[in-house]
Amino acid sequence: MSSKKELTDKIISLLRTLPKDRLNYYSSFKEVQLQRFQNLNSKDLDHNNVIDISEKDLRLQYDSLRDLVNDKYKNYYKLDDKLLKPKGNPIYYDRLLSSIKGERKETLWEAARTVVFGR
Amino acid sequence: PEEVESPSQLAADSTLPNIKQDLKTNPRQASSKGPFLSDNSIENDPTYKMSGWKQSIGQQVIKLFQIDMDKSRSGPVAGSVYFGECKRQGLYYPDEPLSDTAKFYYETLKLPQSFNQQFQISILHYWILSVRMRALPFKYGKDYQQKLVDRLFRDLELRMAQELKINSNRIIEGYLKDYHTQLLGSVLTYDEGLVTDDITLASALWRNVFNGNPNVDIRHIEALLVYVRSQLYVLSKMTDREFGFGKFKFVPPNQTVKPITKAQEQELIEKAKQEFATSDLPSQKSVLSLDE
Repeated sequence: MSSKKELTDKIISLLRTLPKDRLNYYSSFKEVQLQRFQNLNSKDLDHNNVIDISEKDLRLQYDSLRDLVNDKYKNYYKLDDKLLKPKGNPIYYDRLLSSIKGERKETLWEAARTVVFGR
Repeated sequence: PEEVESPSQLAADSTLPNIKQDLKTNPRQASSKGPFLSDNSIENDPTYKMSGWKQSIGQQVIKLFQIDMDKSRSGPVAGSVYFGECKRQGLYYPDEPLSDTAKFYYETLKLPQSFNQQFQISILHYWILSVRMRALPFKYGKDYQQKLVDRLFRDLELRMAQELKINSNRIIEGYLKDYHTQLLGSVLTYDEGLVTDDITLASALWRNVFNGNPNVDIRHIEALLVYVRSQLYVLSKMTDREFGFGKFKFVPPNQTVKPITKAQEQELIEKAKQEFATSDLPSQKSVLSLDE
């Protein structure tokens, strides 16, 4: 087995671990990239009849994806509560997330209140 | 922890062959160039100083009517300085050499050159600033956001007429509505990415800035994410006062941001306090915090 094939396999299995998008966007990163690398894998990587991706570049793709999945930069540039619980509106992100996840829906009254007061 | 390279360097490591994305449009390019900020001589002249007697009358008026300067300042700071910062990043004109930041987007990240793309880059920078604005006291933060977004849209409207030569106001209005929808969508998904995880933020960048390109270089997404996270980090270490006075500038993509220690953070705060210690004119009054 070529190491290019190994790398694409690793990328694919990493992509499979991604959670489904919380909202329905026009396109899903997970689905589109899975398809891309599966296509790449179905072609003969050893014989260069696919666009010529070097092993180094393929490895970089894998490394980047792995760093993103592992939250490397979220932890490296760690933010504190100053931005995550902003004093102008401390529950902003909690409310946003709970409605994205569908845990809680605002009532009409609460929604009207948000529009009037802005938070 | 290990060091992180600058976004430009990270992106340049990869030599993945670029497959041009078919966007099914042939974007209209600017055929003339409008002013960067406006035709107003005061706004265009960074060295402008009001004459002495006008200044002293102004100071007296502010004192007499107890004008809320933090509110007044949101116009010139968010609506002009920060607007300029957002606009500058991805700005290009077809017959001119690219600026250093534009090179990062169009050469290093290989994004298509279009009006839309410029706006997506502006939205991203608007969002970065608006995250910081939320951490100001509510009434000021909201004002700063509003001034910035108003100015961005005013500028879009003017440029579509002046630079892209779209003659119909009805068509321009239609585009503005589209751009507004794009703004709301982008802000929502960036916010989601900010508080969840890197891959969610990366997907949001991929959909909005990379136009959902299926053949994207994942290294490039990573580079842009490092760029975004590092700007937010710098912003989080800046006091409300400095930010509110328009002291923030985006760190260029070819520079590296290193996390700082608690002691260094304290040093920065002391420095800011010294800087503002002598600002006691009525027009320099502010309730914005110098401690956080």
